[in-house]
Amino acid sequence: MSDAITGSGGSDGLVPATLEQLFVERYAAMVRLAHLLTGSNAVAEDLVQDSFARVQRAWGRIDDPVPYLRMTVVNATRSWHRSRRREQRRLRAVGAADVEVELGARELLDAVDRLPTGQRTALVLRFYEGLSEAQIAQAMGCRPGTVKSHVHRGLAALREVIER
Amino acid sequence: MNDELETRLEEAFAAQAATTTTSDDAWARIQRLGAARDHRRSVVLRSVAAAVVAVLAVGGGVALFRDGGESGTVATGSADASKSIAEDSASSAAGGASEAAPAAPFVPAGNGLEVQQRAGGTIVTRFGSTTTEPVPPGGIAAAIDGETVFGVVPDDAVEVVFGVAPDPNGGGIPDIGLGGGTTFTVDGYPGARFFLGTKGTFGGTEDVVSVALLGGMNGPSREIVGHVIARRN
Repeated sequence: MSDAITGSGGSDGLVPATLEQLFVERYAAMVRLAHLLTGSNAVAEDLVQDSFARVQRAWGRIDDPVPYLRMTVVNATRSWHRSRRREQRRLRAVGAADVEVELGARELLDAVDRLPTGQRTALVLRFYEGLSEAQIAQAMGCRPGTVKSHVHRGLAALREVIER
Repeated sequence: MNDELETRLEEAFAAQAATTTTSDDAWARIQRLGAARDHRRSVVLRSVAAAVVAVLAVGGGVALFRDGGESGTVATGSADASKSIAEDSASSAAGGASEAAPAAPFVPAGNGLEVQQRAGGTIVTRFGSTTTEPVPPGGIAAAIDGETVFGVVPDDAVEVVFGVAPDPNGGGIPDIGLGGGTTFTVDGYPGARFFLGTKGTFGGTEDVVSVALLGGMNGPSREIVGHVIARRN
């Protein structure tokens, strides 16, 4: 797992009082999450910055900005996947070349990238962010049962790739 | 197998996440994005507000086409729905006179009532249809076409007043659908008979005037060119 910032569903009991505090505490973690969801560091930064701007606008209406920010980032990456699939493939290829990870991990990440958006999102939130099914469901805007199905199918697909 | 795969997945995600970099000017960019969003939002809101004001400014008129080959007539009612008939009257003298035209005086109407003639133009209807407008506080309204009084409804939910004008053949206008009440005359409206009935006899609600063309179901279409306000004297 990654650092202490990731892997928590909410705000760890401390709700950031200002957007700037939220930025300091969560920006890098959100970029890493978006990086895993999009395969592109540059796209991840753009999407997270835009998500912060959205959170800023909604600041007065939200109780806990961390789950809201995560949901906004997840939605942004899903929208990006929907509207820019061709460009996504190109950027993913560029990003893959930049990432220096061990060969086995690279193959696994490539297999994750080929999964449907819902399965990939659920796997990243589960095995990188360490969220529960309920928290993933909140972030993805779906039911916990759907999350369970996404995780199960995603793992099954990855297992097929590994065993091939 | 699953545990091993999950562990490998966690390690792979962590490895890729570790390569993630962030730009130094991210906070400044977020602030610029936020400002741009606020600006766009305020522009949109201002545009919508301007459009609403424009629509309200010209939207007081309602076009209803009369049948019989006559051209459509556009009412020039107030854009402000809460504007009273009295205010309308003061600003719309017959024939489109200036807004500064003084209101007509109230004249005795009998039965403890007095009425005030109002210029037309605020009510346009066609045969068989009804239209509504706000009732002035304490007032009773009626619509008049020449000597024909079309309909009157009080605002106090107690009485309905209908004006009845004699037809050219002397038979009057029979189909007003009222089952009782008294009639009265109004100075300045020779031959016209006003009918004092009960609320609900001829439509209307407690907060609007319902003006309906009378004259029988087979009568001609008419444009209401005026109305009166009746009140207790």
